[in-house]
Amino acid sequence: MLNIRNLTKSYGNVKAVDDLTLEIRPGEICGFIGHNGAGKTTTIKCICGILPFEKGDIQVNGISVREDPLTCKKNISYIPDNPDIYEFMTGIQYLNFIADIYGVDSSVRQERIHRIADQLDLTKDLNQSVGAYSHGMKQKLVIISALIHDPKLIIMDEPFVGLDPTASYQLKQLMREHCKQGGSIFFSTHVLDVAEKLCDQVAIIKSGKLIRNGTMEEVRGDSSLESVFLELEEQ
Amino acid sequence: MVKALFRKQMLEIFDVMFRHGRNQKQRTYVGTAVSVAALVFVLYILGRLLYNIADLTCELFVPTEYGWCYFAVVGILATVLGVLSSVFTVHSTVYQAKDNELLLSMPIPSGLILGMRLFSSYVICFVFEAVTILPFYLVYWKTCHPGALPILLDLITLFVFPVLALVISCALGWILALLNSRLPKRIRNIINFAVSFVFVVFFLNVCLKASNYMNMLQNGAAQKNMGMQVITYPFVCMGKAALGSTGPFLILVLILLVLAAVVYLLLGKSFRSLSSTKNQGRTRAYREKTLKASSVNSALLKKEFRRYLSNSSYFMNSSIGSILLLLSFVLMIWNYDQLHNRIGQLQMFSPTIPAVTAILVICIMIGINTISASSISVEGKNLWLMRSLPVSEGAFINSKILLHLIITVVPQLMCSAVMAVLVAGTPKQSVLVLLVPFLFALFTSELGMMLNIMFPKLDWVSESNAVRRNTSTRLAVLISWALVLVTVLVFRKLPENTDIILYLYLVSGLLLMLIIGLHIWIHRKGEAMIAVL
Repeated sequence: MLNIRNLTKSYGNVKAVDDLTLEIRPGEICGFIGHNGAGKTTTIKCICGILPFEKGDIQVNGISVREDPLTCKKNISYIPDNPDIYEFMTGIQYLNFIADIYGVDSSVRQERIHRIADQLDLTKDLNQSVGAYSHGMKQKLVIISALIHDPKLIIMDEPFVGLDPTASYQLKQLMREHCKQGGSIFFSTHVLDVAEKLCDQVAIIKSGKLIRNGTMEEVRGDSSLESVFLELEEQ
Repeated sequence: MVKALFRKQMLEIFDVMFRHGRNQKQRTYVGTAVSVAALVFVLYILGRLLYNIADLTCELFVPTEYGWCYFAVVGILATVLGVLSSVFTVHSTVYQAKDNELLLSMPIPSGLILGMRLFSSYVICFVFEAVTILPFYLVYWKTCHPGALPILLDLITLFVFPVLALVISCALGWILALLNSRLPKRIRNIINFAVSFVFVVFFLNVCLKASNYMNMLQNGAAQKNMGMQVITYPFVCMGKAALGSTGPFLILVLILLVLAAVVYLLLGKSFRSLSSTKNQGRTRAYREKTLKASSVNSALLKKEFRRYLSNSSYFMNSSIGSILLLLSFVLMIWNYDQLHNRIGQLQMFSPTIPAVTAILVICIMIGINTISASSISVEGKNLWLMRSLPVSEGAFINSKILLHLIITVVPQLMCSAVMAVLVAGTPKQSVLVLLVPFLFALFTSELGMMLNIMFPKLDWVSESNAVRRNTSTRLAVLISWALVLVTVLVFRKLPENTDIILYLYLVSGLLLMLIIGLHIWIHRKGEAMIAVL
């Protein structure tokens, strides 16, 4: 589903991501962990086509982000760490706008919004202006908008930040449902417990380089993900 | 603490000159110099225009018994301009600034935050008032040789008088903030628009009826009309102080100090609650209804319209030209017969003057619109969204250009159509009246887009910064007006028997070429630049 080969991205002379290679298969949830400034968000933004990169290639469902970004983006949904979305729209206007951009059929969008908004307990607030939303409500709205076109791959940057425990639980359920239906999820997180419970695959990045990648069992071995991560960080 | 806050506030006002909007890097000395020079040039052009007006009128009015009325009217004009330019800035920088909560969470007295915010608004009032008043003072000093005391009082007045505009702006800004915190968003936008519209109409009215105000001031003084005297008293004092009267000058300073202190105390009481209120009005719970699907282009255009109408500061600052065109249209219809007769008289004198004047005036008004020149900047932190969605940069740009065109071309065509009918009998002229402004609107929409791609300001604290304190909007107006000016100057250099209609058709051809050139640049280089913003 996601195939990153030798991705290199620099800011001036500093290599933010250095020769990163990673693959995620359909139906898998991959956790992407690393310290602050390790290159997680840069990698994510390259996958989503937000940032250009110098070397390597990224393919989503066999389509290159570099060569055919628009088709590629149709297969992706991106949930950023900070939900800076259009505050001049109401929640429902925002969702309808996103559905228009992805060309989602009217009845299909209606059903999806109804189902996911109910699940995340946001339905009654959809008439409100986004400017009046709390961080968590904005995050929920972005999650609904990310699922509205039934993407094959969902990219999330710290998706649990700002969510209340119920919404957090609902999101995990949604993530599992998505993968059961053959979709994939690639998400960054600092919450290692969540990653450990949720992920099939884990990738650890340090100073732009991928230092460990594999199934959760392969990476963790007999110890916990936290101790493996801390050990790798110290090396 | 005061120094740090002051520096922050000044950086907010002037950072556009010292920092690149696109990459946030410090400008080079040359870049800063060019940026400062562009601003100085715009101010110079405005000042020069007023200097010429002062040059024509000063000797007629100042030596008379009511010479002070002359400066009082200048004071009224300056104050209205100062209020017009700062009222929404006061509202957005004092009550809607994104860093209000951050500053309030720090150990800074709220009065100090308010004071610094007001100071930045004072700077704006001062700039606009100085550009208006100083040319009149300069001409007065040059022609009347008033001596040291009046000059000294004039200079102090120049710095003190903007406080009046600031006080009025604060009072109006406070009312807007109060309404914003209590009313639903839709009603709030309508009220903001209505207030904005009334300001523009009021300002135009003041400009057009300057001589009436002189009479009003004279009569108010002569008839001892109490109401009139109270309203006009600060202007009367300002007018008398300009001629060197120490008494009225001291009274003026006292009035301004008292007003400033009262407004500061009143605002200080409500600043914390109003600036941290995030009321969106009472909203009804969402009830499911059928959602209408739109095409990508239509969805993007709708989004642009929603953003445009969501903030009075955005639409007021970026579309003054359209408001003026609409007002002109109403005035032309209202005074149709009178205008028809006047144009008939003018056509007997010179058959082309009415059409050419109309074209130039409509183009100047079109040139004030800066919707496309600020449309990338207002995206701010939302820019990531467009880049993550399957939307081409071309479609993104086109929606912004289209918004500019719709807002500009509709009132332009209304005005042009009336003028085309008024200059009837000469089809060539009628076509020109429609064609040249239309092409000019196309040109300004693409020019604004090009400039905003080159000079975006994405890190704004309040949305009005993105629209007003933006290199691209200033350059867009400057280049548009310069083009009108160059067109006139080139024609004046041509032989006397040159056919102006033919000349304007040639200008249309040139405009078309410029539009094509800009279009190619935007969709080749511009799209690539947006992709890496």
